[in-house]
Amino acid sequence: MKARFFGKLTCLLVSSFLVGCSGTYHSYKESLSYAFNPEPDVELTLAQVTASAADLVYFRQGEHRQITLALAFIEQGQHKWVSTDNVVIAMQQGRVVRTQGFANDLLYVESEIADPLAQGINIVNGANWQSKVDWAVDEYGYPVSSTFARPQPDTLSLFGQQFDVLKVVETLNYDAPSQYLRFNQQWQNIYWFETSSGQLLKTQQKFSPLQIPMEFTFVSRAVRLISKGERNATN
Amino acid sequence: MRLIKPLIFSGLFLLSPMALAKVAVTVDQQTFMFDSAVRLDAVLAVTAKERSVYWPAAALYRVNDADVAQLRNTALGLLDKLVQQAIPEQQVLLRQLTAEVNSWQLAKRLPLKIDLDLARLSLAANPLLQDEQYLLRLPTRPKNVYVFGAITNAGKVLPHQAVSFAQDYLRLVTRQSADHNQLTVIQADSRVIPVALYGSGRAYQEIQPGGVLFVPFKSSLFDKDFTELNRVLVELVAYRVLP
Repeated sequence: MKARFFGKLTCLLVSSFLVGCSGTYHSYKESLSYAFNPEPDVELTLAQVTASAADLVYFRQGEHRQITLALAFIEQGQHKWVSTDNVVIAMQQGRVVRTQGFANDLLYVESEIADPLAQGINIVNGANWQSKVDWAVDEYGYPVSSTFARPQPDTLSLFGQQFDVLKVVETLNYDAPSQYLRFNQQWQNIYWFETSSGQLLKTQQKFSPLQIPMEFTFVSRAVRLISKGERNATN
Repeated sequence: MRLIKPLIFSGLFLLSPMALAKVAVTVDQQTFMFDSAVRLDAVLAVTAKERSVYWPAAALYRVNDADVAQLRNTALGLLDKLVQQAIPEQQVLLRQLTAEVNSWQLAKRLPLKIDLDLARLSLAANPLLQDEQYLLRLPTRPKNVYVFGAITNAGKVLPHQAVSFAQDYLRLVTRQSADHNQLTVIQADSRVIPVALYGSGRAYQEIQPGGVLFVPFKSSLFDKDFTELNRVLVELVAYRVLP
Protein backbone atom coordinates (compact mmCIF):
# COMPACT_ATOMS: atom_id res chain seq x y z
CA MET A 1 0.00 0.00 0.00
CA LYS A 2 2.78 2.39 1.02
CA ALA A 3 4.92 1.32 -1.93
CA ARG A 4 2.03 1.87 -4.33
CA PHE A 5 1.43 5.33 -2.85
CA PHE A 6 5.06 6.38 -3.13
CA GLY A 7 5.22 4.91 -6.61
CA LYS A 8 2.29 7.04 -7.70
CA LEU A 9 3.74 10.09 -5.98
CA THR A 10 7.06 9.56 -7.74
CA CYS A 11 5.27 9.31 -11.10
CA LEU A 12 3.35 12.50 -10.32
CA LEU A 13 6.51 14.40 -9.34
CA VAL A 14 8.48 13.19 -12.38
CA SER A 15 5.70 14.13 -14.77
CA SER A 16 5.31 17.56 -13.13
CA PHE A 17 9.04 18.22 -13.57
CA LEU A 18 8.75 17.19 -17.20
CA VAL A 19 5.84 19.60 -17.70
CA GLY A 20 7.76 22.35 -15.91
CA CYS A 21 10.81 21.74 -18.06
CA SER A 22 8.96 21.48 -21.33
CA GLY A 23 8.56 25.25 -21.75
CA THR A 24 12.26 25.86 -21.16
CA TYR A 25 13.22 22.82 -23.23
CA HIS A 26 11.01 23.97 -26.07
CA SER A 27 12.50 27.46 -26.21
CA TYR A 28 16.04 25.99 -25.92
CA LYS A 29 15.26 23.61 -28.75
CA GLU A 30 13.85 26.51 -30.79
CA SER A 31 16.99 28.61 -30.18
CA LEU A 32 19.19 25.76 -31.32
CA SER A 33 16.90 25.20 -34.26
CA TYR A 34 17.22 28.86 -35.34
CA ALA A 35 21.02 28.80 -34.92
CA PHE A 36 21.45 25.76 -37.12
CA ASN A 37 18.49 26.35 -39.41
CA PRO A 38 17.89 30.09 -39.54
CA GLU A 39 15.00 31.21 -41.65
CA PRO A 40 16.18 32.16 -45.10
CA ASP A 41 16.38 35.71 -46.38
CA VAL A 42 13.42 36.97 -48.33
CA GLU A 43 14.43 37.10 -52.00
CA LEU A 44 11.90 38.29 -54.56
CA THR A 45 11.92 37.77 -58.29
CA LEU A 46 11.84 40.62 -60.76
CA ALA A 47 8.25 39.68 -61.58
CA GLN A 48 7.20 39.74 -57.93
CA VAL A 49 8.68 43.19 -57.36
CA THR A 50 7.13 44.49 -60.57
CA ALA A 51 3.73 43.12 -59.62
CA SER A 52 3.75 44.74 -56.19
CA ALA A 53 1.29 47.62 -55.85
CA ALA A 54 3.54 49.27 -53.26
CA ASP A 55 7.22 50.08 -53.56
CA LEU A 56 9.37 47.51 -51.78
CA VAL A 57 12.71 47.60 -50.02
CA TYR A 58 14.84 44.79 -48.61
CA PHE A 59 15.67 45.43 -44.97
CA ARG A 60 18.23 43.72 -42.80
CA GLN A 61 19.21 44.62 -39.25
CA GLY A 62 22.63 43.30 -38.22
CA GLU A 63 22.85 39.55 -38.73
CA HIS A 64 19.09 39.03 -38.87
CA ARG A 65 17.40 37.70 -41.94
CA GLN A 66 16.54 40.00 -44.79
CA ILE A 67 12.86 40.92 -44.95
CA THR A 68 10.75 43.15 -47.14
CA LEU A 69 9.23 46.46 -46.18
CA ALA A 70 6.52 48.23 -48.15
CA LEU A 71 6.22 51.93 -48.77
CA ALA A 72 3.04 52.85 -46.90
CA PHE A 73 3.11 56.65 -46.82
CA ILE A 74 4.90 59.55 -48.46
CA GLU A 75 4.25 62.74 -46.53
CA GLN A 76 6.07 65.82 -45.28
CA GLY A 77 9.18 64.86 -47.22
CA GLN A 78 9.39 61.43 -45.61
CA HIS A 79 9.08 57.94 -47.01
CA LYS A 80 7.54 55.63 -44.40
CA TRP A 81 8.35 51.95 -44.82
CA VAL A 82 6.28 49.38 -42.97
CA SER A 83 6.80 45.72 -42.06
CA THR A 84 4.14 43.02 -41.75
CA ASP A 85 4.31 43.35 -37.96
CA ASN A 86 3.79 47.14 -38.12
CA VAL A 87 7.34 48.32 -37.58
CA VAL A 88 7.64 51.75 -39.22
CA ILE A 89 10.86 53.31 -40.51
CA ALA A 90 10.67 56.91 -41.72
CA MET A 91 13.40 58.04 -44.10
CA GLN A 92 14.16 61.53 -45.25
CA GLN A 93 16.39 61.93 -48.32
CA GLY A 94 17.80 58.47 -47.68
CA ARG A 95 18.45 58.87 -43.96
CA VAL A 96 16.45 57.10 -41.25
CA VAL A 97 14.96 59.85 -39.09
CA ARG A 98 12.42 57.95 -37.03
CA THR A 99 11.47 54.41 -36.14
CA GLN A 100 8.47 52.86 -34.44
CA GLY A 101 8.46 49.30 -33.15
CA PHE A 102 12.10 48.60 -32.24
CA ALA A 103 13.43 47.98 -28.73
CA ASN A 104 15.08 51.41 -28.79
CA ASP A 105 13.27 53.61 -31.26
CA LEU A 106 14.84 56.63 -32.87
CA LEU A 107 12.34 59.31 -31.83
CA TYR A 108 13.59 62.47 -33.46
CA VAL A 109 16.43 63.96 -35.49
CA GLU A 110 16.95 67.70 -35.47
CA SER A 111 19.41 69.89 -37.32
CA GLU A 112 19.74 73.60 -37.96
CA ILE A 113 21.32 73.03 -41.37
CA ALA A 114 20.23 71.09 -44.42
CA ASP A 115 21.37 67.47 -44.62
CA PRO A 116 24.15 67.22 -47.26
CA LEU A 117 22.81 63.75 -48.07
CA ALA A 118 20.07 65.52 -50.04
CA GLN A 119 22.76 66.37 -52.62
CA GLY A 120 23.20 62.66 -53.37
CA ILE A 121 25.84 62.10 -56.02
CA ASN A 122 26.64 65.82 -55.98
CA ILE A 123 27.81 65.78 -52.37
CA VAL A 124 30.87 67.94 -51.95
CA ASN A 125 33.94 66.27 -50.52
CA GLY A 126 34.27 67.25 -46.87
CA ALA A 127 30.65 68.38 -46.49
CA ASN A 128 29.70 68.17 -42.86
CA TRP A 129 26.55 68.02 -40.81
CA GLN A 130 25.52 68.31 -37.18
CA SER A 131 22.36 66.88 -35.72
CA LYS A 132 20.79 66.11 -32.37
CA VAL A 133 19.04 62.86 -31.74
CA ASP A 134 16.39 61.62 -29.29
CA TRP A 135 16.12 57.93 -28.38
CA ALA A 136 13.29 56.02 -26.72
CA VAL A 137 15.61 54.81 -23.92
CA ASP A 138 15.36 58.33 -22.48
CA GLU A 139 18.34 59.89 -24.25
CA TYR A 140 17.58 63.37 -25.55
CA GLY A 141 19.49 65.85 -27.67
CA TYR A 142 22.54 63.65 -28.26
CA PRO A 143 24.82 65.45 -30.73
CA VAL A 144 26.12 63.64 -33.80
CA SER A 145 28.54 65.22 -36.25
CA SER A 146 29.42 63.79 -39.64
CA THR A 147 31.62 64.36 -42.65
CA PHE A 148 31.06 63.13 -46.19
CA ALA A 149 33.78 61.89 -48.50
CA ARG A 150 33.81 62.45 -52.25
CA PRO A 151 31.55 59.91 -54.04
CA GLN A 152 33.56 57.03 -55.50
CA PRO A 153 32.58 54.82 -58.47
CA ASP A 154 31.37 51.35 -57.58
CA THR A 155 29.00 48.67 -58.89
CA LEU A 156 25.94 46.97 -57.39
CA SER A 157 24.47 43.71 -58.55
CA LEU A 158 20.69 43.34 -58.26
CA PHE A 159 18.42 40.90 -60.06
CA GLY A 160 21.35 39.72 -62.14
CA GLN A 161 21.99 43.23 -63.42
CA GLN A 162 25.03 45.38 -62.74
CA PHE A 163 24.37 48.97 -61.77
CA ASP A 164 26.97 51.72 -62.00
CA VAL A 165 26.77 53.54 -58.69
CA LEU A 166 28.54 56.23 -56.75
CA LYS A 167 29.40 55.19 -53.23
CA VAL A 168 29.16 57.92 -50.61
CA VAL A 169 30.77 57.31 -47.23
CA GLU A 170 29.68 59.37 -44.26
CA THR A 171 31.90 59.25 -41.18
CA LEU A 172 29.94 60.00 -38.02
CA ASN A 173 31.02 60.91 -34.50
CA TYR A 174 28.96 60.55 -31.39
CA ASP A 175 29.84 63.71 -29.52
CA ALA A 176 27.86 63.09 -26.35
CA PRO A 177 29.57 62.25 -23.06
CA SER A 178 28.74 58.70 -22.21
CA GLN A 179 27.35 57.27 -19.00
CA TYR A 180 29.08 54.03 -19.84
CA LEU A 181 32.51 53.06 -21.12
CA ARG A 182 32.40 53.33 -24.89
CA PHE A 183 35.35 52.29 -26.96
CA ASN A 184 33.97 53.36 -30.27
CA GLN A 185 32.51 56.81 -30.79
CA GLN A 186 32.96 56.79 -34.57
CA TRP A 187 31.39 54.76 -37.36
CA GLN A 188 30.52 54.98 -41.05
CA ASN A 189 27.25 55.06 -43.00
CA ILE A 190 27.36 54.13 -46.67
CA TYR A 191 25.05 55.16 -49.50
CA TRP A 192 25.07 53.80 -53.06
CA PHE A 193 23.46 56.11 -55.64
CA GLU A 194 22.77 54.95 -59.19
CA THR A 195 24.99 57.07 -61.42
CA SER A 196 22.72 58.30 -64.18
CA SER A 197 19.46 58.73 -62.25
CA GLY A 198 21.02 59.72 -58.90
CA GLN A 199 18.58 57.43 -57.09
CA LEU A 200 19.61 55.81 -53.83
CA LEU A 201 19.73 52.04 -54.40
CA LYS A 202 21.28 50.81 -51.19
CA THR A 203 22.39 52.11 -47.80
CA GLN A 204 23.91 50.80 -44.62
CA GLN A 205 23.43 53.17 -41.71
CA LYS A 206 22.92 53.73 -38.04
CA PHE A 207 22.66 56.78 -35.80
CA SER A 208 24.67 55.79 -32.75
CA PRO A 209 27.75 53.64 -32.16
CA LEU A 210 25.77 51.04 -30.23
CA GLN A 211 22.86 50.79 -32.65
CA ILE A 212 22.63 47.63 -34.76
CA PRO A 213 23.30 48.72 -38.36
CA MET A 214 20.39 48.74 -40.78
CA GLU A 215 20.71 47.87 -44.44
CA PHE A 216 18.19 48.88 -47.07
CA THR A 217 18.14 47.78 -50.72
CA PHE A 218 15.57 49.67 -52.79
CA VAL A 219 14.44 46.83 -55.04
CA SER A 220 11.46 48.58 -56.63
CA ARG A 221 13.69 51.45 -57.71
CA ALA A 222 16.16 48.93 -59.18
CA VAL A 223 13.39 47.18 -61.09
CA ARG A 224 12.15 50.48 -62.53
CA LEU A 225 15.67 51.32 -63.65
CA ILE A 226 16.00 47.89 -65.24
CA SER A 227 12.75 48.29 -67.09
CA LYS A 228 13.82 51.72 -68.32
CA GLY A 229 17.00 50.14 -69.64
CA GLU A 230 19.26 52.30 -67.53
CA ARG A 231 21.80 49.67 -66.61
CA ASN A 232 25.25 48.66 -67.57
CA ALA A 233 24.90 45.05 -68.73
CA THR A 234 28.15 43.27 -68.20
CA ASN A 235 26.81 39.75 -68.74
CA MET B 1 -44.67 47.74 -48.83
CA ARG B 2 -41.21 46.44 -49.77
CA LEU B 3 -39.64 49.75 -48.84
CA ILE B 4 -41.18 49.97 -45.40
CA LYS B 5 -38.79 47.58 -43.63
CA PRO B 6 -35.59 49.25 -44.93
CA LEU B 7 -37.08 52.64 -44.08
CA ILE B 8 -37.86 51.51 -40.56
CA PHE B 9 -34.36 50.11 -40.05
CA SER B 10 -32.76 53.28 -41.49
CA GLY B 11 -34.83 55.39 -39.14
CA LEU B 12 -33.85 53.29 -36.15
CA PHE B 13 -30.18 53.58 -37.11
CA LEU B 14 -30.35 57.33 -37.50
CA LEU B 15 -31.84 57.59 -34.04
CA SER B 16 -29.28 55.20 -32.51
CA PRO B 17 -26.67 56.58 -30.05
CA MET B 18 -23.79 55.97 -32.48
CA ALA B 19 -25.46 57.91 -35.27
CA LEU B 20 -26.25 60.83 -32.94
CA ALA B 21 -22.79 60.93 -31.30
CA LYS B 22 -21.00 64.21 -31.88
CA VAL B 23 -17.31 64.46 -31.24
CA ALA B 24 -15.49 67.76 -30.68
CA VAL B 25 -11.71 67.79 -30.77
CA THR B 26 -9.86 70.98 -29.91
CA VAL B 27 -6.32 71.49 -31.15
CA ASP B 28 -4.57 74.79 -30.43
CA GLN B 29 -7.90 76.59 -29.81
CA GLN B 30 -9.36 75.33 -33.07
CA THR B 31 -12.25 72.92 -32.66
CA PHE B 32 -12.97 70.18 -35.18
CA MET B 33 -16.51 68.77 -35.10
CA PHE B 34 -17.36 65.25 -36.21
CA ASP B 35 -21.01 64.31 -36.67
CA SER B 36 -20.52 60.75 -35.55
CA ALA B 37 -18.08 58.56 -33.66
CA VAL B 38 -14.70 58.81 -35.33
CA ARG B 39 -11.44 56.85 -35.25
CA LEU B 40 -8.31 58.51 -33.94
CA ASP B 41 -6.48 58.15 -37.27
CA ALA B 42 -9.21 60.13 -39.01
CA VAL B 43 -8.89 62.87 -36.40
CA LEU B 44 -5.10 62.95 -36.71
CA ALA B 45 -5.29 62.98 -40.51
CA VAL B 46 -7.17 66.28 -40.28
CA THR B 47 -5.45 67.83 -37.27
CA ALA B 48 -1.83 66.70 -37.70
CA LYS B 49 -1.65 67.53 -41.38
CA GLU B 50 1.43 69.58 -42.29
CA ARG B 51 2.56 69.71 -38.65
CA SER B 52 5.94 68.60 -37.44
CA VAL B 53 4.68 66.77 -34.35
CA TYR B 54 6.92 65.48 -31.56
CA TRP B 55 4.89 62.32 -31.08
CA PRO B 56 6.23 61.30 -27.63
CA ALA B 57 4.67 64.48 -26.22
CA ALA B 58 1.39 64.19 -28.12
CA ALA B 59 -1.60 63.59 -25.87
CA LEU B 60 -5.38 63.22 -26.01
CA TYR B 61 -7.44 64.43 -23.10
CA ARG B 62 -11.09 64.02 -22.19
CA VAL B 63 -12.45 67.39 -21.11
CA ASN B 64 -14.76 67.92 -18.11
CA ASP B 65 -13.87 64.76 -16.27
CA ALA B 66 -15.24 64.88 -12.72
CA ASP B 67 -12.39 62.75 -11.29
CA VAL B 68 -9.83 65.38 -12.24
CA ALA B 69 -11.64 68.20 -10.47
CA GLN B 70 -12.05 65.96 -7.43
CA LEU B 71 -8.32 65.23 -7.35
CA ARG B 72 -7.43 68.91 -7.57
CA ASN B 73 -9.78 69.60 -4.65
CA THR B 74 -8.06 66.86 -2.66
CA ALA B 75 -4.67 68.45 -3.32
CA LEU B 76 -5.91 71.91 -2.43
CA GLY B 77 -7.53 70.61 0.74
CA LEU B 78 -4.28 69.00 1.83
CA LEU B 79 -2.33 72.13 1.07
CA ASP B 80 -4.77 74.21 3.08
CA LYS B 81 -4.49 71.84 6.03
CA LEU B 82 -0.70 71.96 5.89
CA VAL B 83 -0.68 75.77 5.70
CA GLN B 84 -2.56 75.87 9.03
CA GLN B 85 0.11 73.73 10.70
CA ALA B 86 3.26 75.08 9.04
CA ILE B 87 5.91 77.53 10.16
CA PRO B 88 5.76 80.94 8.37
CA GLU B 89 8.53 80.09 5.92
CA GLN B 90 6.78 76.93 4.86
CA GLN B 91 3.40 78.70 4.71
CA VAL B 92 4.72 81.00 1.98
CA LEU B 93 5.88 78.02 -0.06
CA LEU B 94 2.65 76.08 0.45
CA ARG B 95 0.56 79.11 -0.60
CA GLN B 96 2.72 79.51 -3.71
CA LEU B 97 2.17 75.84 -4.49
CA THR B 98 -1.58 76.29 -4.01
CA ALA B 99 -1.53 79.10 -6.58
CA GLU B 100 0.58 76.92 -8.87
CA VAL B 101 -1.85 73.99 -8.67
CA ASN B 102 -4.78 76.33 -9.24
CA SER B 103 -3.13 77.66 -12.39
CA TRP B 104 -2.84 74.25 -14.06
CA GLN B 105 -5.18 73.44 -16.93
CA LEU B 106 -6.31 69.93 -16.11
CA ALA B 107 -7.99 67.23 -18.15
CA LYS B 108 -8.07 63.45 -18.08
CA ARG B 109 -5.29 62.15 -20.27
CA LEU B 110 -6.24 58.99 -22.12
CA PRO B 111 -3.73 56.15 -21.53
CA LEU B 112 -2.91 55.89 -25.20
CA LYS B 113 0.15 56.43 -27.37
CA ILE B 114 -0.81 59.15 -29.85
CA ASP B 115 1.00 58.46 -33.09
CA LEU B 116 -0.41 58.91 -36.58
CA ASP B 117 1.55 56.04 -38.13
CA LEU B 118 0.66 53.66 -35.30
CA ALA B 119 -3.01 54.63 -35.45
CA ARG B 120 -3.10 53.94 -39.17
CA LEU B 121 -1.56 50.49 -38.78
CA SER B 122 -2.90 49.12 -35.51
CA LEU B 123 -6.50 48.99 -34.32
CA ALA B 124 -5.29 48.88 -30.71
CA ALA B 125 -3.73 52.32 -31.23
CA ASN B 126 -6.75 53.64 -33.11
CA PRO B 127 -9.69 53.85 -30.71
CA LEU B 128 -13.14 55.06 -31.62
CA LEU B 129 -13.83 58.49 -30.13
CA GLN B 130 -17.51 59.04 -29.39
CA ASP B 131 -19.87 61.59 -27.96
CA GLU B 132 -17.34 63.58 -26.03
CA GLN B 133 -15.25 66.70 -25.96
CA TYR B 134 -11.54 66.11 -26.40
CA LEU B 135 -8.42 68.17 -26.23
CA LEU B 136 -5.59 67.06 -28.49
CA ARG B 137 -2.07 68.27 -27.98
CA LEU B 138 0.21 67.96 -31.01
CA PRO B 139 3.32 69.86 -29.99
CA THR B 140 6.54 70.39 -31.87
CA ARG B 141 9.55 69.22 -29.85
CA PRO B 142 9.10 71.04 -26.52
CA LYS B 143 11.90 73.34 -25.47
CA ASN B 144 11.25 73.28 -21.73
CA VAL B 145 10.78 71.15 -18.67
CA TYR B 146 8.60 72.08 -15.70
CA VAL B 147 10.01 71.79 -12.18
CA PHE B 148 7.65 72.09 -9.22
CA GLY B 149 7.13 71.10 -5.63
CA ALA B 150 9.38 71.85 -2.67
CA ILE B 151 11.29 74.65 -4.40
CA THR B 152 11.27 78.42 -3.96
CA ASN B 153 8.26 79.88 -5.83
CA ALA B 154 6.87 76.33 -6.07
CA GLY B 155 7.13 76.08 -9.84
CA LYS B 156 9.59 76.99 -12.56
CA VAL B 157 9.84 76.45 -16.31
CA LEU B 158 13.41 75.72 -17.38
CA PRO B 159 14.97 75.18 -20.80
CA HIS B 160 15.39 71.51 -21.62
CA GLN B 161 19.05 70.52 -21.44
CA ALA B 162 20.47 67.99 -23.84
CA VAL B 163 22.32 65.00 -22.41
CA SER B 164 21.45 65.96 -18.84
CA PHE B 165 20.04 64.18 -15.85
CA ALA B 166 17.15 65.09 -13.59
CA GLN B 167 19.53 66.05 -10.79
CA ASP B 168 21.27 68.57 -13.09
CA TYR B 169 18.14 70.74 -13.00
CA LEU B 170 18.42 71.02 -9.21
CA ARG B 171 21.31 73.46 -9.68
CA LEU B 172 18.82 75.87 -11.25
CA VAL B 173 16.27 75.85 -8.42
CA THR B 174 16.40 76.34 -4.66
CA ARG B 175 14.97 73.47 -2.70
CA GLN B 176 12.93 74.26 0.38
CA SER B 177 11.60 71.72 2.90
CA ALA B 178 12.54 69.18 0.26
CA ASP B 179 13.29 65.48 0.41
CA HIS B 180 16.95 65.37 -0.66
CA ASN B 181 16.93 61.64 -1.34
CA GLN B 182 14.66 61.41 -4.31
CA LEU B 183 12.87 63.09 -7.19
CA THR B 184 10.04 62.05 -9.46
CA VAL B 185 10.14 62.48 -13.23
CA ILE B 186 6.85 62.59 -15.12
CA GLN B 187 7.79 62.24 -18.78
CA ALA B 188 5.89 64.04 -21.52
CA ASP B 189 4.62 60.63 -22.65
CA SER B 190 3.12 60.20 -19.13
CA ARG B 191 5.59 57.66 -17.68
CA VAL B 192 6.21 58.27 -13.96
CA ILE B 193 9.79 57.47 -12.91
CA PRO B 194 11.08 57.69 -9.32
CA VAL B 195 14.72 58.82 -9.21
CA ALA B 196 16.87 57.96 -6.20
CA LEU B 197 19.59 60.54 -5.59
CA TYR B 198 21.77 58.62 -3.15
CA GLY B 199 22.75 55.12 -2.23
CA SER B 200 22.87 51.93 -4.21
CA GLY B 201 19.65 52.78 -6.06
CA ARG B 202 21.05 56.07 -7.36
CA ALA B 203 19.76 56.63 -10.86
CA TYR B 204 20.75 58.77 -13.80
CA GLN B 205 17.51 59.66 -15.49
CA GLU B 206 17.04 62.11 -18.34
CA ILE B 207 13.90 64.19 -18.67
CA GLN B 208 12.01 64.16 -21.94
CA PRO B 209 11.47 67.55 -23.61
CA GLY B 210 8.17 68.74 -22.16
CA GLY B 211 8.58 66.53 -19.10
CA VAL B 212 8.03 67.42 -15.45
CA LEU B 213 10.36 67.16 -12.47
CA PHE B 214 8.65 66.95 -9.09
CA VAL B 215 10.73 67.80 -6.02
CA PRO B 216 8.95 66.06 -3.12
CA PHE B 217 8.53 67.48 0.34
CA LYS B 218 10.48 65.98 3.20
CA SER B 219 8.19 63.62 5.06
CA SER B 220 8.46 61.09 7.81
CA LEU B 221 6.63 58.12 9.24
CA PHE B 222 5.07 60.51 11.77
CA ASP B 223 4.08 63.07 9.18
CA LYS B 224 1.73 61.34 6.79
CA ASP B 225 0.23 64.55 5.40
CA PHE B 226 3.37 65.44 3.42
CA THR B 227 3.66 61.85 2.23
CA GLU B 228 0.08 62.03 1.02
CA LEU B 229 0.64 65.47 -0.55
CA ASN B 230 3.62 64.12 -2.50
CA ARG B 231 1.52 61.22 -3.77
CA VAL B 232 -1.46 63.37 -4.76
CA LEU B 233 0.68 65.98 -6.53
CA VAL B 234 2.37 63.32 -8.68
CA GLU B 235 -1.03 61.90 -9.57
CA LEU B 236 -2.50 65.34 -10.29
CA VAL B 237 0.34 66.70 -12.43
CA ALA B 238 -0.19 63.80 -14.83
CA TYR B 239 -3.50 65.51 -15.69
CA ARG B 240 -1.84 68.84 -16.32
CA VAL B 241 -2.35 69.67 -19.98
CA LEU B 242 1.05 70.20 -21.56
CA PRO B 243 1.35 73.85 -22.60
